[in-house]
Amino acid sequence: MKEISIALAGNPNSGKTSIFNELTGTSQYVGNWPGVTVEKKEGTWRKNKKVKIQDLPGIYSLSPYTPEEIVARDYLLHQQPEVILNVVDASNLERNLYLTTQLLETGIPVVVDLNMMDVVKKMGNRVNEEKLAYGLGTPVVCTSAVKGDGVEAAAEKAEKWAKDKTFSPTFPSYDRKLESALSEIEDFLPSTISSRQTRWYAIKLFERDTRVQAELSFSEEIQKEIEEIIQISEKIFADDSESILINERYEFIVKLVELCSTKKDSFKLTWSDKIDRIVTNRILAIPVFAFVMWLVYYISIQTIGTMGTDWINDTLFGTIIPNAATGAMVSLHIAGWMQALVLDGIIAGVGAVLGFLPQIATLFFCLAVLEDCGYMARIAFVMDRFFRKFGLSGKSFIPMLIATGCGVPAVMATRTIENEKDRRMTVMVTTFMPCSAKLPIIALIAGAFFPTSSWVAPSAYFIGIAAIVLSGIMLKKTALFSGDPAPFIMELPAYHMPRARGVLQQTWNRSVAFVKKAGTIIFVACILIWFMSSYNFQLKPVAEDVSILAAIGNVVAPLFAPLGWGNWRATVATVTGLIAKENVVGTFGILYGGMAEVSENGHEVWPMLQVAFTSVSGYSFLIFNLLCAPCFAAIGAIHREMITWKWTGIAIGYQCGLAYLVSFVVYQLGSWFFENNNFGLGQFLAIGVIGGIIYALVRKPRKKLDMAGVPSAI
Amino acid sequence: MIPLIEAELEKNYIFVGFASGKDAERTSVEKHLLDLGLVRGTEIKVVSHSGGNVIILIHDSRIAVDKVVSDNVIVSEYSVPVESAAISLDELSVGEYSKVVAIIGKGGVKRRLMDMGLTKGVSVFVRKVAPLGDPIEINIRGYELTLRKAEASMVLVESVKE
Repeated sequence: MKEISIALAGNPNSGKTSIFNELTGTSQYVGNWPGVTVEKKEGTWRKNKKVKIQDLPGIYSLSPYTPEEIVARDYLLHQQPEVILNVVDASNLERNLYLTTQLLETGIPVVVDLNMMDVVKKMGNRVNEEKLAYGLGTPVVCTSAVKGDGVEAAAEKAEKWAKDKTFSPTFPSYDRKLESALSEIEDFLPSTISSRQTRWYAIKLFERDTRVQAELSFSEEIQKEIEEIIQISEKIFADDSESILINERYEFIVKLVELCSTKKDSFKLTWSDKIDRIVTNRILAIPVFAFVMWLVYYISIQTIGTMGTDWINDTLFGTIIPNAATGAMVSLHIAGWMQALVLDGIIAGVGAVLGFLPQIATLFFCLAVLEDCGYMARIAFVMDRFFRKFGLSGKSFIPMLIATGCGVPAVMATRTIENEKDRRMTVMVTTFMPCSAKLPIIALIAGAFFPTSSWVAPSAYFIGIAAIVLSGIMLKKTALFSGDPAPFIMELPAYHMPRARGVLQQTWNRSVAFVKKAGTIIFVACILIWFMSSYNFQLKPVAEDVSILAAIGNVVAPLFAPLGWGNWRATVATVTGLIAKENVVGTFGILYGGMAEVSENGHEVWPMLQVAFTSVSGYSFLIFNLLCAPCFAAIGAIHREMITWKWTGIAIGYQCGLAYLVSFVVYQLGSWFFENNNFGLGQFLAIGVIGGIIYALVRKPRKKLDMAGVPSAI
Repeated sequence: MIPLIEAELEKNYIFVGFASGKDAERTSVEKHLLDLGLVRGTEIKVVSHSGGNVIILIHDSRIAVDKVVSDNVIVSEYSVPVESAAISLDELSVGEYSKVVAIIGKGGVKRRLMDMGLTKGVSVFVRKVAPLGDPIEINIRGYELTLRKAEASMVLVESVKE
């Protein structure tokens, strides 16, 4: 038996990934906002390993608008799966069936999957799938993916339809005048095109699709004749050819929907709309948003999360594990250096990172709730008005919010932004948002230097946002990014109660990824750092100050002296932060804490830090680490989105440059203002830097390079 | 006809076209809006306003658009005829001549009416009205057409003197 591929295609947020997870037994990330899936994902059906399931990004139409839609379209048209399982949100039939008409026209067998049937029933509406199947000329199945109802049956149906030897495509029929134009165009098509695909090519030619025109490369004569046919139709319908087709598709659908569904007056405002009245209200929107964000961080960072973190830091990694490990190792007579490696290297380093798991898991939980209930998409809408002023689109906000969890998915989420310049800029600035891995750094600095003030942790977010906003204004004025942001158009999902299963699964997946990172990358990094800090180049155990690490760190450290922390430990910590930001704390745990009495309490590195840094230099260290290049994983994600190394270089260079300048200004002026340093060259330069930034903010924009608002990526 | 940005909450409108005009090259943004279901005659309701950014309800889905878009989208009120002088066909009395101004409504019925020849600018003569005012027999394009009152009310006409 030969392998077959079932492609899951449908509108954004119609539940393709839920069905994919159900069929393949995986737990890909699902969420209640359009654009969660931005890459094609492949899996095998649990029931039949010969069947491949392809999860595609959501599309509204086969004429792509955003980059992730191109992924889906190219797969469908060029890879030609054996069958398409068209996932349709049954609570929004008309709009969803629009894509169905286009999918049917590709000539690939299509099974229509009416998803969210539970929602339809709850609204008191009905859809008759037999009538729909008759009208479309293709099988129709009903599912409710969240509950898992009917999903297996849908895949079985698709498999059967793919193998059906009698299959011949049926196409939606349009107005007679349009049909005759299409059949006239079909006559020009070369015989090499299979009969299944003639309709698709005719329609594309009618729409004047340049890609298809180039592919067929007709003689000028034929081109002229086809153009004539199109122009005649345009005159008859008094519309342009693309609009004619779109109109006809919707006409066909409206008739079909009237035939097969009964619904109560759906044009009434639902309670979802009433929530929107308040949440997206001109005046209330921002206070509501601020309150929600405050609540998220209050819960995850200050209250519930902190309780867990304190327990892990003080009790688990502070007392229980070190004591147990020491006891076990002593009783087993393990070599002294090995004991040191385990206690000072692994437990101090990995423990410092894992200690933040409760806070981070709570943060992930809150973000998952926000996403699942449908508020995420509203935030983009609310913030659009403000972001536009800084040259960014509201869609840039979703990546930034995701970035508070992790920068890698955040950078990938930028794919829903249609304008290439907007997208590149968002990629560049998104990681300014403190991600969960930077939380430990914030907590460390806040705890060590500012134990009594509560503004330090929020200030990290404020600095992140300020860096984004100021970057938006500055970058928009350069020739690279000039031009208006693309108009904001986004479908808003209906609100629903967050589903425990989805939210918990997402929290679990992300937390596991965090722990895994601590157990792998950070584990190895900790061992390396411990080794390099405990031995010299002759591989003799030495004091840290003359270790390999100190030698290397001392070479680079002067670079950071103007920022107030030109010592080798801080330098090494920053560099190890590139591997993973949690490493900054892990490294401190080894370099400062390793020598201290680990068992006494989890915050043993604070006093050591207080000696090495002043408050201002500590804060400058924090800022640099927040704003500089993200970890390698995120840099990789940035490169994937930017495609060229030139753009990746621009992004990383800009981030590091800005981080350096801001830390420099903060340290130089801060030390003069708060710590009574003399006003000297450093302070003078710092003021110069501020002047330069102000100039970059207010100068006249460079002339626009191309037409405003026209996405250049498509 | 007003741009979407000026539309009131909770009122029904229908989409008329883009302010940039029909002859202008369709931008990819306009194309995307068409794909999302904003075709001529689509009912629109404004769910929320926020300084030029609006959330609209079309085809059972909620779409958020910004000021640039809401300025460009032209809508007209659903219940009120597009042109003030126009009345609906069922309001004419026997023997009156009129000219079709527009067909309101959407979908199959509208298509059907237009298929029967009730297109913009065609002249209509009311021949008979059944005792209870339903159906109505009219004369268009040289033939007699009988319409139910419900359908006739979707045809907007302006009366023509003789």
